Amino acid sequence: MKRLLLFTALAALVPAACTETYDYDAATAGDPEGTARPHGKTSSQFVRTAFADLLGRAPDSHTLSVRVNGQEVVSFQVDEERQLVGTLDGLGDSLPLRNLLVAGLLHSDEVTLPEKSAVADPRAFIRGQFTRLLGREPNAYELEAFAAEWAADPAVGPRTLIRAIVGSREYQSQ
Amino acid sequence: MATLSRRNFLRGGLAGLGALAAARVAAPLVKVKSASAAGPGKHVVVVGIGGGLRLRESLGMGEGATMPNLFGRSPLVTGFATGVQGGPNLAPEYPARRLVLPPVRATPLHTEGTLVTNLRYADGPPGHLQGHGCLLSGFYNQLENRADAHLPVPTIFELHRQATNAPATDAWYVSQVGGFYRALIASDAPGYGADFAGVYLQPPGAMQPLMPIIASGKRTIDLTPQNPGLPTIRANAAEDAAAQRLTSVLDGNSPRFAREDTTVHLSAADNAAVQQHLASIYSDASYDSFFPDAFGIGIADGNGGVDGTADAQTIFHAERVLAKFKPAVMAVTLLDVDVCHGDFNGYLQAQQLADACVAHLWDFIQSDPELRSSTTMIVLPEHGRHLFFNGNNPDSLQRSGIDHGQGDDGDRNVWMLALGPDVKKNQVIAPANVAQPGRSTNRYETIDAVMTAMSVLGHDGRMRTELEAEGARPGLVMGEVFA
Repeated sequence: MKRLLLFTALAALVPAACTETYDYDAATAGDPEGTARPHGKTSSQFVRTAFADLLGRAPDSHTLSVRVNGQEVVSFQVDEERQLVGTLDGLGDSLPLRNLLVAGLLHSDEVTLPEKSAVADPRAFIRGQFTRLLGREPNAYELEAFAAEWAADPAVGPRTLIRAIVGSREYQSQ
Repeated sequence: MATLSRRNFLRGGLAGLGALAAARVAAPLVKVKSASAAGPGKHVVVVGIGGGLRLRESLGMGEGATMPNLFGRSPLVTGFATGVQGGPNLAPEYPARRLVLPPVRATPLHTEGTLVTNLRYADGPPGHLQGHGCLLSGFYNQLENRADAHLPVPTIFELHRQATNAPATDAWYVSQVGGFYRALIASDAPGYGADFAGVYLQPPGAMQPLMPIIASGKRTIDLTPQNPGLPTIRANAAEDAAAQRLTSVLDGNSPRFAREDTTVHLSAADNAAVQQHLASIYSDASYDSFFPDAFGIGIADGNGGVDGTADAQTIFHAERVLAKFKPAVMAVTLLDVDVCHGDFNGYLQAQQLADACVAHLWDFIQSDPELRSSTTMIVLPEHGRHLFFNGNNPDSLQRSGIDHGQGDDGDRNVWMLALGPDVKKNQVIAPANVAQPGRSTNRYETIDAVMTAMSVLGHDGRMRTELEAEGARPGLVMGEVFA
């Protein structure tokens, strides 16, 4: 198995000689005039931010072990950020993949969210998530719109609310 | 349930590692007519066999019949081999991978269409990004290998979307290669750009089994008969729709992304459609939706399954996109043959895989009633390779790696195969009297293949205008291709 892993890893390096991307830092110099439109987070920025906001930790590198009927058949290192950036960059506008990643993270063992029925004050919960994820309170229009959806749609609960905010242009901006 | 998944998972894991690791035209002497194929409801698929594929090994069969599904077993150009050819001439000591390939077609595909055997990649560096930049725009270019380097003329995606007001999901670029190939989805051309970009998808990167595993937070995956499933990202259409609705509330109150942003930003509707497609893949606990054994092209995994090469994964997902979105424009980039830099025998095998992949794609198109009657497919190498070996990893047959990029005839002499309901059948041609100011060879060129493809959609006039505005020599429509 290690031989196979090595073979695959080496094989992947062959075309890299002439297809390697040079590093490009998309970070802008800011917006001194206050007129520039926002730039999107790079995949790396997004992964690190989402992990911090949703899991409370940075992406790490760990050993993934696969066992079949109790027997380990393979284990290998997984660099979470590198792996996820490579995945997200496989889509020109990676927002759909980012949204799926967030949906997965919010179902993970690492995240505990209250049930919708356990949220006594939806407006306070909405305000809290805006503040936590966007660094600001919702304006009156946003608060009303979110609260109305919370009341009307059974599919709108804590997880949906967080997914919506993280999927927004504001969150996705640098 | 599909087969577990141990096999599929391992394949996924391995693939994951891999992912870590894309008004000067005068009347020509040849009669160049407007395409008779143009019309509404048409589809065009341009397949670029990237990585550098020489005429000698492909049509010339100088190392055996490496592409029998496309070209059969008898050389289609002279000077390299004669008579009926067997399989690829691999060195006896070569530790050949066990390829999984479907049975070779009884009749080669070229008999179903028109093959131009003397196409010329006439200008610009024979490099991957530049070659594919040309295939996506009809413009010989010297793009820098940078993630933010855009073509100065509109791409085929932008031309189509601007002309038809179509959504991005009507124009796809499915590329085996990632990195700076993303930038090819939109140009810097005035009046075009990211607002008219298509959807860029790199299957070996985006279709990644490790993503749901990482998202699950699990560090150990225990697979048992009672628990045979692998981590997934659950599909929940109601939650997705609700989240998108709420996001639109926020987006309605925030400025759009900067036009000059490095990556494109598609509309909410386009992204919702793409997300729905991806969700169906990421929610499949068998992981077969990433790449199923049933695709039948790749490398034997030793357990009865098939590991998809990057080209095979790319074609598999191109077919999924065609099935779901039926886009008017799709470009596909393959690259497995680029292994030739250091592995000549691997290059021969990669040709077999590319050959099977292209044939599979065409058969898939033929299996769909709508696509069958409306799709033109153009297949061509992005460029060739040098006429000389580079000395890397020589084999016992005195062959070694071959590079590309210096621009000799090996680099520039290629071919084009056109297939489709409007394409003349069973035609092999090598026109040598094509005239145009600035055209040095009197042959058809790569830019003509692109212009011909665009003529099917009725965008050739617009492409010509935009190229001329940039001071470039536009391609010609190959009238002989159409019935």
